[in-house]
Amino acid sequence: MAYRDKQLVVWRMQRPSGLRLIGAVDVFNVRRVEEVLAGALYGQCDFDVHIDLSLIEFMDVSGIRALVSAAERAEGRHRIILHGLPPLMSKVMEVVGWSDSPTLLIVQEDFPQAEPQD
Amino acid sequence: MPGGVDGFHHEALLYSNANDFLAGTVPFIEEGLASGEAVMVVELPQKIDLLRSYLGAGALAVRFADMAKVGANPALIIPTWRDFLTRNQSEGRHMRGIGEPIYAARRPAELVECQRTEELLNFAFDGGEAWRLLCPYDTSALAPAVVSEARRSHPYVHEVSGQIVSGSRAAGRRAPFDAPFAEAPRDHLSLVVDQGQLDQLRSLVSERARDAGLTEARIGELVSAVNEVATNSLSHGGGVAYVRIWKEDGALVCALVDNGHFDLPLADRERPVRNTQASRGLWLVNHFVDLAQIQSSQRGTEVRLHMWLDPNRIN
Repeated sequence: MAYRDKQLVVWRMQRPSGLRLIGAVDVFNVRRVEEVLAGALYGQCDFDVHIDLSLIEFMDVSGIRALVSAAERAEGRHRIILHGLPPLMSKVMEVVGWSDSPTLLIVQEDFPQAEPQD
Repeated sequence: MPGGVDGFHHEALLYSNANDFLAGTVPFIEEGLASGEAVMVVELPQKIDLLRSYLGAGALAVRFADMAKVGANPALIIPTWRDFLTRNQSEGRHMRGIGEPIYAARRPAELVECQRTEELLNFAFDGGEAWRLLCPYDTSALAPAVVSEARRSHPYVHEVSGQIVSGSRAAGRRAPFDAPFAEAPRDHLSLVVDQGQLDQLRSLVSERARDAGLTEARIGELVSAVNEVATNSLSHGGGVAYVRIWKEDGALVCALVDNGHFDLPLADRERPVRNTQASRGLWLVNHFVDLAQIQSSQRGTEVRLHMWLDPNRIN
């Protein structure tokens, strides 16, 4: 497990590498989520880093901004692929103009079979 | 100079019947088309049909938009004009527009926000590019107070007689956030939200919205909007949000109060720039709720979010 608080659990995944977020991201824990994202990208050999959002109950604008910023900072080294983006989050991204970020790919496919890492 | 103006010309057109309306709008549109300007008309569908039939082939060169759609939330009217200007400026075209935001079927809270929009149009476009915006007002259907406010918020007024006079704006300029809110009803639910309690706020809003009969998609949007406003209170408004929720005349209302002071009148109606750090909460709020009202002074800030219980009501 990469992180846990009263409203969010983050699992680090391997083969393929990435993170699975379960629960809610808001101003209460967004700084920690930024750290977890940075940690998952730091020293990562794989170009593609997958993030599973299919079990996210709520993510505010700052949480989405954390994903978009992480992808921008990793430009050239990594590409972030979002799986299971809930429709509401997808609409948020569209309204605020973040849908076409070149280093952030939103895919319809489920998160690939992967194993949680301790 | 396009149409002989050297800056933003915000003009009210007072009319009392279809003939006056056509006499004020059709030549205005034709003059713009004749000089190669881009022309946009934001009106209710029946007015668009009427104008189309009188403009004939000229109508093909006009961009029409349905006010009941693009201006359903009046806060989205300024971005609509901003986009129109940006698009045509980049092509080097002059432009003019007609927009009738205020019509008899507007709900009372919408009317207040439309009037604020009329005032903010001056704030948004004064000192910028030269263009004319003509705002028709139906004096036969609107209350006299609405017509006198139009005379105040527009620097130029086309009288029913056809005469053009100066508006009374300079005399009665108001601060953008000083329209007082109606008292909240006694029968409301209240909650004080602190850092780390947004999850409770979201559950409560979601429960109330479900009880009020909102669709799942609209519940999610309201919850998201309330969360963004409360986050502003926690981050910039003194760290606490005082939330009240109630049902009134055809709407579910969520009011959020904090101790902050907010004086960026266009902050909720400017399209965010491509920069991930810029604030986007209020822009999102205006796309997710039916109406958002902001009142702010040294004593604090209140944001009221409205979701209509009959969003498809025919205007």
